[in-house]
Amino acid sequence: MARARSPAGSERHRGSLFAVLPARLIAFYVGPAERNTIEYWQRFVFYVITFTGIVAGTLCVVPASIWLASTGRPSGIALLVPYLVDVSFILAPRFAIRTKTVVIAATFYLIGVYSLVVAGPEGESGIWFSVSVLILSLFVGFRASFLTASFNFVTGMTFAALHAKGLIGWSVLRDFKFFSWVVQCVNIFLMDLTFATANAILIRGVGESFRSLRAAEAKVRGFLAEKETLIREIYHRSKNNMQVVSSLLTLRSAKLTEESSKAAFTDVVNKIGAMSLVHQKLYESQDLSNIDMADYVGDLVALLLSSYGVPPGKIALGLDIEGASLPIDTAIPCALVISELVSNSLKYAFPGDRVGRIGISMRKAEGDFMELAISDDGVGVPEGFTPSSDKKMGMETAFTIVTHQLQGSIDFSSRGGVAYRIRFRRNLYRERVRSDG
Amino acid sequence: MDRPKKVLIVEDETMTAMALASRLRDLGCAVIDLTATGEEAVRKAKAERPDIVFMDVNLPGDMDGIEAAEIIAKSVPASIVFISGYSSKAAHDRAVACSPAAFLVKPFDFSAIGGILASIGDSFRRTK
Repeated sequence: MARARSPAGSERHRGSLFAVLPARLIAFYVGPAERNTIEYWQRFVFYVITFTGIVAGTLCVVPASIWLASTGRPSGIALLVPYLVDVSFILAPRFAIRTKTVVIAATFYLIGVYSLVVAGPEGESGIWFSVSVLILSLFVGFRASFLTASFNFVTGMTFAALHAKGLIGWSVLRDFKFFSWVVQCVNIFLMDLTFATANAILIRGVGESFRSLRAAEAKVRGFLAEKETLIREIYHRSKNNMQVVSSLLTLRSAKLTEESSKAAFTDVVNKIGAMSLVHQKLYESQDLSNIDMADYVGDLVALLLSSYGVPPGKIALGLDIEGASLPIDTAIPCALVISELVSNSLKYAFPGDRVGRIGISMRKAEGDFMELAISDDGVGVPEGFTPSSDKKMGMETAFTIVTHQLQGSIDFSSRGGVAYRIRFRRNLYRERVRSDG
Repeated sequence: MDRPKKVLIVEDETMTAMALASRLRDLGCAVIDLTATGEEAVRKAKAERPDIVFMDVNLPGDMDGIEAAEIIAKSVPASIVFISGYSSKAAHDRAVACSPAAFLVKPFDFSAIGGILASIGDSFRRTK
């Protein structure tokens, strides 16, 4: 029988103990993730190195110090004190990494000197001296690392001179060769200088690359802001132009005497109003590609009520639209459908003094689909009425837009008024410019 | 007397498609259908074998108007009239490669449709 796999959640949980916790600790010390700066990566490298050092030190230095101290040797204290000083500085959040690095380099130097005094050239003083140069080159700068490398060299040579004059005696060393020691000091100095120079060049180069990157980013952000302003301006002008067309039609219709012609003009003006409102909502919104349909539909219905001169209190509105936003390509045909169907209700569903209710709901369905429902509790439609082929009430246009342009479906029912249930895909288009590009 | 030209309209803007269909009917054409996607246009063209296809360049879905026209041209000897809301050179070049009868840039003048039909009629007669 196959063994059941452990749930992904528990695997994540186990992972978090060993990976997320140190990552969070480093994130706390490294600070906000402004990753496009050399300072961020210097802090990151510093804390990765030093935290690893703290863990390694706790496992090695502390037991070794205790053991050395228990055997009566002072080396235990000589190791433990600088170790504790370094740990305290590393963990203290208020110090900059430059300060912390200088403290660590100083303690490493002292450990190197102690090692030189106690163990002589055979000790590990060279390692402590070199590491102090290396960390200074990484986190403080070339000048500090160069001075420290020189100081380390002078220290080594001073010890050799003192030994040559017999002022200090390295008891552990039976056969000290002065020339070999000088060569060793020179070699270490040159090696330290090589790494310090390489690090300085690398840090400067990466820093300059980051500066160029940030400058390019700022430039792109500027272009984007400019483009956004232009898009808003275009939406604004489109809306204003539509307003002009709408005004021209309204002016022209005022001179008409035939009621059917006036009604046709009103229909067209309302359709232009619905499209114009989409552009208005787009330039008013933060997101230039999508409009919030709750906001839009409320304004559209208010526009239609005003256009048809519906007196206050005659029609109660029930809007139930939440979290529905549409891109402009879908918003425009959807706006025309809502405008058409609500206009029909306003024109035909509540004749005379009849009062009633119009309900509009829109919600996101499964996948990328949207569901729009429009209903009224008016007089309904005549027996045998087929809305998809109705020309008089203009429903044919709404049905065609849904099935043709929105590639959706529309269900119609007429029990105690009318009700439409429309379902369509929220985003029908690939990138608009692609096929032209 | 010539039979009415069978026309397929592939245009995703419903109002434009309806207005174009109305104009073509006035000019004596038989409008087969309005379609809004490239895939549907290819199916309809293969089934109905129109004489003329008015094809929008930008269409929803995975197939744009130029791709649809290329497929249609391989199996149906229809004249293609491209319609586009954008008039970039790249789009124009791709469309021209399909040897269309005309290329209309929106907003186009509906009164120009008659001239386009006449030129297509002439080329039909010359072909025959």
